[in-house]
Amino acid sequence: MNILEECTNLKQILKSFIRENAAATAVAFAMIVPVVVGSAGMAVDMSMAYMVQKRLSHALDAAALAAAAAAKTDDDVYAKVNQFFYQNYPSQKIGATYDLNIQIVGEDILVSAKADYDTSFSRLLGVDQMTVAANTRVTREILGLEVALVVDVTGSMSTNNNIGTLKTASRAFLDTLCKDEYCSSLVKIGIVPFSAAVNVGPYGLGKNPDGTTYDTAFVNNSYGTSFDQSKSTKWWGCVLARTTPQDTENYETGWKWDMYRNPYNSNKNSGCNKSYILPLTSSYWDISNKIDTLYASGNTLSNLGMVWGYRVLSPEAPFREGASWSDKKVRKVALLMTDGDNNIGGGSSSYSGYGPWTTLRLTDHDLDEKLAQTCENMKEEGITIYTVTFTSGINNSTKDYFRNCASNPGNYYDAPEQADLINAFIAISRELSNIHIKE
Amino acid sequence: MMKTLFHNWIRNEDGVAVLEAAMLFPVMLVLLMGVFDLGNGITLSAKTITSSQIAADLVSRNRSIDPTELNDLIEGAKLAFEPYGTSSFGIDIVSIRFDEDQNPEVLWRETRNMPQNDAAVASVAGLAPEGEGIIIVTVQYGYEPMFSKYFTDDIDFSEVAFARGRRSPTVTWGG
Repeated sequence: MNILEECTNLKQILKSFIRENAAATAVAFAMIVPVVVGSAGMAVDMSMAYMVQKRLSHALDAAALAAAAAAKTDDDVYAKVNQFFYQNYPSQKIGATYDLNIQIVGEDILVSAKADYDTSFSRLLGVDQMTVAANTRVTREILGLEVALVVDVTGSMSTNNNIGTLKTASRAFLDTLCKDEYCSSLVKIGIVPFSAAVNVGPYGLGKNPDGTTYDTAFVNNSYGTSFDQSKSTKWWGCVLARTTPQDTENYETGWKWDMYRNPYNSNKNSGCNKSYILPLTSSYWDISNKIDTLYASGNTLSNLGMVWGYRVLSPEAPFREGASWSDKKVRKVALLMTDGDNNIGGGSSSYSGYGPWTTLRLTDHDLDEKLAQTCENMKEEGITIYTVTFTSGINNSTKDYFRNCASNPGNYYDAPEQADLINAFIAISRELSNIHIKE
Repeated sequence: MMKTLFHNWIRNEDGVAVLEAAMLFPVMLVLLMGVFDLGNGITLSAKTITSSQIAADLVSRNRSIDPTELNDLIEGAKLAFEPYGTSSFGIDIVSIRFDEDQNPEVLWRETRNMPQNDAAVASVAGLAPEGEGIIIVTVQYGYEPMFSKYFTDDIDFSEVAFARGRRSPTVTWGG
């Protein structure tokens, strides 16, 4: 068939269509109209429902992120999610939202919601409503970190210049958390040196080291003395423990501590280590200088160091720098390090943070049990605990106590050598710097 | 005579099919074009939502923001409209801080190609305590339907997204 014939053919077909009188097009069209309109309408409704879902999931994302970033307590989370969800998805927008469900699982915030879209076209086919659902999961970021370094400055730390190693380790710890000699305001570090007692320094009488007012005095000054470490007649800053069980507890209104006054020595401060507490601070140089002044002397009462670490981290008096317990954005961490087993000494002229030994006649085991109780109390409040035993002279019982004190066995480090201590401190500080967001 | 001719013409059945086709064709065409425009409209409306949320989210990731970063993220918000043109894209980004009366106080604002959306800023009054902040992003997009433009004006889509700074209560201006 050549082109010409083809054309003639087409011409004929066209001619017959024009003259066609069967009127079939309208009938056929009438039959397919519902199908065409229906499917077009369905397509429109589907894209509308898709749009509703998009708005829903965006609103949920924004709400969950806002809650994760801003909320401190669980109630805050509910409030923030609600606020931001309805702000981003106001009721006048297409699609009625319902079933906004908020769950908090550990550090995660799970939010889900549904929306009903009233169809425009599909209702002709009997579909009145389309329901869309969306959900999102956001992990709350830990933004703040508060660390209490509870470090052993007992006499034995002067052996082999172990105190020097502790300073090196602590500086490495500080430099990991505070890069370039600057601590973010989100990172706070406090230092609690301990030996036979804990030295609260000038803070006990309500003063800062520079003499300005710190807070309410929390040490009974029944001797009418003042804080002055240069004179043996004055008070060097050490305090006695409160009675059991308050020597393992944080604080209750009205608590005050008694001064350490050794009756067996002409120097009432005998056995008191001059290194005193540094409350939580973000000042790099305050922390660094405190590390430099650590000095070794005295017996080992690690439970007293730990309970003061607890008090430094807590938001309550006597040291109130810590964030509120309910503030989920801040992680509180205590690092307890010792180079010896608990040792109260004992004997007729023995004196410690528990006063004259002859009064209570505590054993080293009592101290271990008090340490265990303090750790339990701290962990119950949500404090993460790391423990380090340093030197090869630690007995297995102490190691067990320290392992149990740590939040989990992985948080316990045994450091027989000096290099191990430095490595342990670096490992812990790296782990800590990973859980908070860097600026 | 005339009457008979007219009568015959009315009764003439030749060409009914083509006549029907000619009558139905516009109906089909309008239907098709309507669905096309409507579909595009819905897509663009969804893109407007996405765009506003993208911009709000990107701003909220910063503690402070400088003009270069702001430019980049506005470009990012525009990308949400791909492959549609962005000549009618308008954006109003406001970072607010709540004052002691919980009223929003504008820390900085960047408005391009649209009027400032003060209603959105006013709508957050009383939402959070002093010191808290909110990022408010309004994206506006004027859609000119390809076919329906002969019957209707441009359709303006406008979406507002609210976000809270992820790293700090407020996002400050670092320009």
